[in-house]
Amino acid sequence: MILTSLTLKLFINLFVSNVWAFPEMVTHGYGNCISCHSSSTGGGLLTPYGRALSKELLSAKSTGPTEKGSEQFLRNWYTPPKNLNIGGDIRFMQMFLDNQFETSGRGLLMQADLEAQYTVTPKIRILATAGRQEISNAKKITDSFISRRHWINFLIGADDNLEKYQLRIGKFFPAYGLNIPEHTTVTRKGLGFDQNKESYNVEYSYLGEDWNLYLTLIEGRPDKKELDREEGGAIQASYIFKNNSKFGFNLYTGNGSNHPSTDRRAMGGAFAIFSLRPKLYTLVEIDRSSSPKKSYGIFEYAKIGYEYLQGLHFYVSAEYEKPSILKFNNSLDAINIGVQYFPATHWEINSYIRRENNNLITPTKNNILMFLLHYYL
Amino acid sequence: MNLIKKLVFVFCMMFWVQAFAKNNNILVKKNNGTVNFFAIGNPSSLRINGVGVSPEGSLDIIHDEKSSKVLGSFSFDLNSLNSGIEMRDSHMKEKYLETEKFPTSKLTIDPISFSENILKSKNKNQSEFKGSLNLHGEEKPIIGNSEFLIKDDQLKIIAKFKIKSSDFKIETPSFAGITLGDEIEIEVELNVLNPKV
Repeated sequence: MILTSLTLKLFINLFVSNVWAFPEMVTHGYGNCISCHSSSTGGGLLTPYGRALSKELLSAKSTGPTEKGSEQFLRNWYTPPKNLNIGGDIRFMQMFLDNQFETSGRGLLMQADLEAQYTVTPKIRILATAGRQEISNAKKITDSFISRRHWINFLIGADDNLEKYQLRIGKFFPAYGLNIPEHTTVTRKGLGFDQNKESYNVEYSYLGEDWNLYLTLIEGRPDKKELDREEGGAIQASYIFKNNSKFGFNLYTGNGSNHPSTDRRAMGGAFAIFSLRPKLYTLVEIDRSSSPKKSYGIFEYAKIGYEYLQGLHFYVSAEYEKPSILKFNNSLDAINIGVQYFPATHWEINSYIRRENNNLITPTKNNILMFLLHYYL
Repeated sequence: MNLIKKLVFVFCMMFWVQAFAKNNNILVKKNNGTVNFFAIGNPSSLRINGVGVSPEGSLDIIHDEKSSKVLGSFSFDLNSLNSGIEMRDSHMKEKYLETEKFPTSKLTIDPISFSENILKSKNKNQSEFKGSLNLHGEEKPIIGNSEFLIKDDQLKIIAKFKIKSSDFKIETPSFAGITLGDEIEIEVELNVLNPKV
């Protein structure tokens, strides 16, 4: 029973997603995330254009009469003041797990976050999220409160293209690899970009027509030194080609804030998003991580998706993780087969089966059925 | 006397050239290719690709053994443009191109000269071309690049040129904070049967 409970908690924590970005949109010509998202690296709060696109391109075509403004915040029941952009995410998950130790299932409200951006001046924006996190030992309601992301963003481009150069200071993930919503994949969780692992950073970004460049100074969590988060830096450069595909490179270095001399690592990797055919796309990422303790490790992710109808995607993804080549039996491989459906504006359903050979701790063969229901405000 | 001889010679040569030059007229229909356009919206360098049916019109290829000339005029159905998003297309046609008032665009190509017979050549023949484009009720000169390639029984033609929407008095397209750049790249690709030489 204890094992079941622990395993479920582990998986629930693994599958909670906080940043809902769709890098696949590159295949529709959206090479930079800022068309649709307030964040320069994508995910989270939608821009007005992103809302329109979620209705026109992402969601299934309505068979009934189209409700004007249905893509807006709260379906246009409330219109925020001009300088205020509000959004948020509510996410429910149901999962079933089967392995040699147990068969179990559980449903959970994973996320209920509000997110707002205030435009102070045309060149300065402030954004913050506020929501709840799953804490097992919460004593007061405030213990569950979390602001996953908050930042101040300075747009420092020329007057006719302010967003081209940006400076962002605050709490968010540094730009590294594919910013996919499935944060449990080995290239997110395995590399330390799991839920609630956002750090305080200073980010300079260049978002050009063909090239994107992010330089991030990572300051860890100076507000919570006990978390021993990494401090360091990251570089990401990516190139958009053929108008619907993108590839990029990453470099990352980090030192544990409490033991910087011994607890350190360096990472490098490459990623790509290819439009193979008008409705067929693939996402690929490969990374190498090295540290004095583990020598080096390999992390790989590949996904191929097909948009059968607008809003209805079928996909297969594969993952491989070997955190340290020094350990013989120390790897994780998984294959996921899933369907992602956006039945109407604001709604998303994602369901997949996962076959996983996990030898990272105890050798386990997991069969997982996952069902996610997501509503964005 | 000498001058008369020369004039007679030149006249004969001209007649000879005219007698041996051939003119192939190719009718281009809606299923003979595509018109593609590419534009960038900012902020975010949003890439917009659109596609429409082939322009309709006629192409004259005047050629002899060692040279050829190409000229033609085409009409393009602007309502056939599709950029992949319904709302964007309706805005593009109704608000900016005003296709109810200006349903077609007309392209006239001035004679393009080649130093070989493009209908016999196995090479890709490329040349700059000049012409005029009538769009949104405005006519402006254009300059572009053209390619002609014979492959099996097909003649493939690609013409690329750039226009500025402001030149044609088209209001700058803008939606939900994204504004389209002034410059638009246009590529016309045609595949027609190689006329008998």
